[in-house]
Order: sequence, then structure tokens, then C-alpha cells
Amino acid sequence: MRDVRLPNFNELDAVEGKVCGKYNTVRSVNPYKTHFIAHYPNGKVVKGNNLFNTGWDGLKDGILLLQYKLSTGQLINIPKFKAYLSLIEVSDSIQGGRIFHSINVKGMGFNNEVINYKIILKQDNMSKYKIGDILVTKDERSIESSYWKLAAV
Amino acid sequence: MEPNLSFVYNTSDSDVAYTGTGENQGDWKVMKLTGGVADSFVFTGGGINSSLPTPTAPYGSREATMRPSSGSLIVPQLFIESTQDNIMRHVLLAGQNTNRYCMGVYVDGYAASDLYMEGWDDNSFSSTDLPTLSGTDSYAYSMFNVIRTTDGAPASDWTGATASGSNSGSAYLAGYDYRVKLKGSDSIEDEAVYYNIYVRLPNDAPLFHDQPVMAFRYLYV
Repeated sequence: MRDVRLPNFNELDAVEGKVCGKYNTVRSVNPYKTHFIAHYPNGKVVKGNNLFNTGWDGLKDGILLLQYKLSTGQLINIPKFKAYLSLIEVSDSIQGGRIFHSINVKGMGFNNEVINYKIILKQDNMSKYKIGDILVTKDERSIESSYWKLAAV
Repeated sequence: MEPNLSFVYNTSDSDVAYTGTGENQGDWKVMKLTGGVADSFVFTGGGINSSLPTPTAPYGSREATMRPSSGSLIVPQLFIESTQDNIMRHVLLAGQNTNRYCMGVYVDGYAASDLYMEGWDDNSFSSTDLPTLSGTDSYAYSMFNVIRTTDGAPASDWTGATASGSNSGSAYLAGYDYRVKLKGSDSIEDEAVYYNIYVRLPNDAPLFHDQPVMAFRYLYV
């Protein structure tokens, strides 16, 4: 039985999903099993929910270590920054399909520069990127958002 | 938290904005995506009988478009076909014209980016090989012409290349590289964005019945 939130997925297990297109087949993480993990100096650990409702907006400042756990089991450590912003890149279609492309973790450096860690969440026969690949770029513009979370000092 | 997108369309000949918040509102209807077969775009007309009845046509109606012997032809009608409502509704204002409020997307919540409209072969969102998206020898780009109208009405002769081309205010819609920013800013919150759309059929188009998907890409917290 297909998932009502992912009607275009032909298969979905705890690790991965598969979307079969006319010319291409896409493999994706399971968005229900992919989330952030925030560690705090007092030893507290906060797990995010999933990719639909990440839980990021309710996260408190003072993060000691930020990690991402993919449904494939891969655990990704984000380097230390002054602040973090986590954004999910998704596509919805008018026909009801949905695919999660990446998690964009933005880190604000100590000179206010912003580095983007793009964690790839899907792979196919045509893209050179695989699930779990990380593309690191520098954002040209500053990003104003109330959803930045400060790191522990 | 992810925003909810509602895909809305204007069924009247009045070029007025959508004032709802994601529900049917006056002459604006919301496309149904869940609860059965999703509503779909049907570009039709320009054949032997010229056009389908308007403002509504029986579910499943088609007026096959006649391929021109030279030049190209804009497919004259856009309908939204609803399996669940068992009807086709004409989007009277869509086309190569100066109409601004034909099609829209209401964003309920906060998107931390622009809303990018893209065309793909199917719901794998990964290829653009269908003839309507890949073009022909004489028309080497997507047949779908789309322009952002959130910030103003288009020119009467607008095309996919009118507003700076790819990845901007208009595009020959195809994949990631030829897409349209529907607002033109870094975020969208509790508001509607708008576009106009038409299909131009070149004379060397193959015979096809393509069903590409229209996709909307964005970031959220």
C-alpha cells in the first residue's frame, strides 16, 4: 500500500524509497527516518522528528554539536559554527508527487560568513550525486531568519 | 515546518486576484490532489471543431490539436480536468495575453526561499525527455511557456524568454535549468503567487500525448 504523503513512491522501507519514472529511477532516503540530532553542553540530546515536520523551530539555542542521521544509517557531523540554520529542499507536483532533494545546513562563521552544507537525499542514473554526498559552498548573501539557532559559547 | 501549497485557478473572465487562504473562493478553484485521482491540466483545442465548450466541458472531452504545416500554433485552451468532480473547467484567461491572475499557488505557512516552478517527465522529478519538454529541430526548447505574473501583467506577446529567460521571471519550462521563480524574492509567507502559461506546438512536433508534471520546489525550516 502506497504512502498517502508520498503517492509517487513505488517502494518505501525503513532505509530507502524508490520512485520509478518513465526514463529514470530515483532512490531516496525514507523521510520519516531522517532527522537532526542536537547535543547540548549539559549532556542533553534532542532528536528531530522527520523531514515533514522537522522540529527545528522548537529547538533551543546553545547547540554543542549538530548531527544529521539519514535513514540509510549515515551519521553526519556538522562542523562548529556560531549559529546554524537547517532548511529542507523539496518538490511538490500538481499531480501529487513529492521528492526530498537535500538538507541545506547553513553555518554562520565567526565573521558572519555563511557556509552551506548541502546533504543529498536522493540519487538516480543521471545525477552525479549520491545519497549522503555533501556539497559545501559559501553563500554570497547573508540570510535573515528567525530560525537561526546559536551554538554553545 | 513545511508549508501547505494550494494550486488555484481562475474560472472567470475577470482578471482579479485570489483572496482566499487555500480554499475555493469565488471563481477561483483549488486543484484536488488527494482523495482519488489528482486534477490535471489539459491543453486542447485548435482542431477540426476549434474548441471545447466553455466555461465547462464534459469530463474526458478532448479536441485534438491540429499540427500546423508551417510555423507554430499556440494550443488555444487550457482546462483543469477533475476526476473527482467529473468535469473540466476552462481557465479562460490563460494564454499569450496580458492577463495576470490565471493560475496561482497559495502558500500557507513559511517557505524560506522563492517558489520555483519546474516541468519534469514524471513524478521522479529527474528527466526532461518528453517531446513537449525537449522540443524539436525547429523549436529546440520546451513547448511550455510560463511567466511569473505575481508582480505585474505580462506583455501581450510574452514568451518563455521574455523576462530574462531561464531560472527567472519566465522560461520555456524544462527541469532544473529552465524554471520560473514565482515571487522573485527570498521567502514567501501566507500569500498567493501567480503565473500565466501556454503551449506552443511547432510544425515538426511528433505525434504525442504527453503527460509531464508541473512541480514546485522550495525550502522550509
